[in-house]
Amino acid sequence: MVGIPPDGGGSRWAIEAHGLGKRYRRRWALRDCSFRVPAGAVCGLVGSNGAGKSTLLNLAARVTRPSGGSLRLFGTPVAEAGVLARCAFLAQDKPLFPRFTVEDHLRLGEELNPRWDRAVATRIVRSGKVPLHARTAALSGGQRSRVALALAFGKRPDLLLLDEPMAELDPLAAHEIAGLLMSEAAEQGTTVVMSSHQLSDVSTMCDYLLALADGRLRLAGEVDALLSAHSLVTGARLVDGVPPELARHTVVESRVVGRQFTGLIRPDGPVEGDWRISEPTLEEVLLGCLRSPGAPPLITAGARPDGYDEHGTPEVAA
Amino acid sequence: MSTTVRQAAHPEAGKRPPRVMRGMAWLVWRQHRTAFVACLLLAAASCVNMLWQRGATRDLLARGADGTAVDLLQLFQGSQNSAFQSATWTLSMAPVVAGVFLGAPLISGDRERGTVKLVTTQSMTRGRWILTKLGLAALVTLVCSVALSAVFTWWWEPAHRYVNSGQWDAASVFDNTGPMLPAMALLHFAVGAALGMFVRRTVTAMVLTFGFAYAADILWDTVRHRLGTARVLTSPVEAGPPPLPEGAVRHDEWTVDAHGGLHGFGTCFNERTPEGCRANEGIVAHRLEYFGYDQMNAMQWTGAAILLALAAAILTLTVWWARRRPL
Repeated sequence: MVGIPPDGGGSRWAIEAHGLGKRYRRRWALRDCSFRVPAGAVCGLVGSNGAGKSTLLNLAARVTRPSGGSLRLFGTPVAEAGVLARCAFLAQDKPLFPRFTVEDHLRLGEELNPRWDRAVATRIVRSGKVPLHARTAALSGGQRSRVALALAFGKRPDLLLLDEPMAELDPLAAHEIAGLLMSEAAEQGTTVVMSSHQLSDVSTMCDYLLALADGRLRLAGEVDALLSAHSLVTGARLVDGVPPELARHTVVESRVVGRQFTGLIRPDGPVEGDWRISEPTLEEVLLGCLRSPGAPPLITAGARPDGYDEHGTPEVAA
Repeated sequence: MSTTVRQAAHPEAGKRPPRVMRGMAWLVWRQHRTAFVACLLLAAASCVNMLWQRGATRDLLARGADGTAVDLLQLFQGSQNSAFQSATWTLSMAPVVAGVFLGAPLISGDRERGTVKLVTTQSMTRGRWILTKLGLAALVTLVCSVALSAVFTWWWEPAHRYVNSGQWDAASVFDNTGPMLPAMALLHFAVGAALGMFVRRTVTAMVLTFGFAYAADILWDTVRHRLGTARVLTSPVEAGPPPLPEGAVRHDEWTVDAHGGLHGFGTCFNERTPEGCRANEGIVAHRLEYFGYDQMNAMQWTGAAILLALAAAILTLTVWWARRRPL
C-alpha cells in the first residue's frame, strides 16, 4: 500500500516533523512531535478532543505557525510558499461561502490554483447529484462535504489534510464520502492525513497511524507494525499487580477481572509463563495507549526520523 | 470615473462570461460585489443629483450677477440652502459607509465564517489575499469618494461665498471638498478593515468602526483650525473692528493694549462709558485673526496628507499582521 511516490520529486516523506510544537498563550497544544509519514500513505490521526489533532493539521496546512521545531512537506519547509500548491486542506467545519453557488466554488478553485483539474472536480460534484446552480447555504451536510472535497481534489494535491471529514454526517453520507475519498485518493496517488473520532473508520481506511494525547505523540507508524508490536496476554491472576514475568516487557495497560489478568504489552523477546497470547485489534491498541499516559510512546522504525529512538526522543550521538 | 470602473469590472454577466477579472481579484469581487456595486451606484446617483442641482445654483448666481436680485445671500439661503445641506449630509456619510460597510466586514466576515481557511489554503499566499482584498476595496472607496468630492467641489466653488454663509471652515464644507473627502473615506476604511482583522465578529467590528467615526468627528473639529496659520488684521480702536476680507472666515478676535497684551473681544463692550473703560485698560486697537479663502486649499491638502499617512500606516499594519499571524 505504502509508497507510490508522487511526481515532482522531493522527498519520499510526505510529512517530516522534528520536535514540532505549538503553544497558544501558556498552553502547549502540541509538543515535541517527531515523526514522518511516507508519501502515498493513508494516515489516520486519532486522539481525544483537545489532543492536538487539529493543531497538527493546521500547522501542516499553514493556517498557523509552529512555535518550535521544524515541519517539512515533501522535503520543503512548510513556511515556503511552494508547499501551498502541493497540499489541500479541509477544515473541520468545511467552510464554504454561503452565497456562492457550487459553480462559483469550482471557479474559485480554478482561479486560485495553477494545477486545477476541472474534470476531477466536476466529476466529484456531478456524481453526488449536487445541483451546480444551488447556493451553498441550501445544500445538505453531505453535499457540502462533497463540494469541499471536490475543491480539495480539483487542486490535484500530493498531500490531502482532512480534519474530521466524516463528523456531523449521517451514516449514509459518511459512508458515501469515505468511499469517494478512498477511490479518489487511490486514483490520484494522494497521501491522505485524516483526523477522526471513529476508530472503526480509521481501522478500515488507514494503513498508517498517528495517535496524540495531551499534545504529545503516543503512537506513530504503519498499522501492521503497530499491531505486531503489541500482544494481548490473558491468564490466571496469581499475584497482585503486574506479574514479574511480564514486567520485563513494556506493559501498556493491565486490568484484572475476578481471577483473570489481562494485559496489553509490547513484548521484548518471547513471553514466558502460562499466558494465552493473542494479537490485539487496532481499536484495543489505540484505546490502551491513549488510556495510559504513563506508558512510553511507540514510534515504529519507519515513522522515526533519522536520529530519533523508538520513543520519539532524540538520540544522543555516542 | 465610477462608471468606467463598474463596466470594466462586471464579470458576472452570463453563464460562461469572458474572464475580465482573474485569480484573487475575481474572488474578492465575487465575494463583495453586492457591497461594491451598491457603493458605486449610490455614489453615481449622488453625483447625478448634485450635477442637476448645480444647474439651479448657476442660474441663481447668473441672476445675481446682472443685478436683478435684491440680496443674493438672502435669495440663496431661501432657495439653495436645503439642497446644499442635504448634499453635505450625504457626503459626510460617505466615510462612515466606507468604514462600517466596506472596511469592517471585509476581513471579519471571512474570519467569522472560517472561509479565510478555505482561501488561504489554495495555491496563493496569504499576503496576496490580503493585498488584493484591501486593494480592491480601497479602490472602490477611492473612486466613489473622488467622484463625490469632485462633483461637489465643482458645484460649491462658484457659490462658496453663500454656502453655509461663506463659512468654509465648517465640517460640512471643509471636509467634503477637495482632497479631504477621499482622505477621510480612506482613513475610515482602513480603520474598519483593521478592526475587522482584530475583532473576529463582523457586527462588533462594524459597531466599533461606527464609534471610531463618532470619535474622529469630535477630534477632527479641534484639528481643523490648526492646519493653517491665521492671518492678522489690526485697526485702531476708534475705527472699530476691522472688516473681514472677502471670502475669509473669522478665527478669533481680540482687543490689544499699548504693550501688545491681548484682551478679550468683549472687554469694555457692555460698560456705560466704553471709552473710559478702554482708557483705563489701556486698550488701543482691535485685532482680527482670520483664514483667507486662498489658504483653504493648502489647509485641506495638509489635513488630507495627515489622514492619508494615518490610513497608510494602519493598512500597512493590517497587511503585516495578516501575513504573520494566524487568522
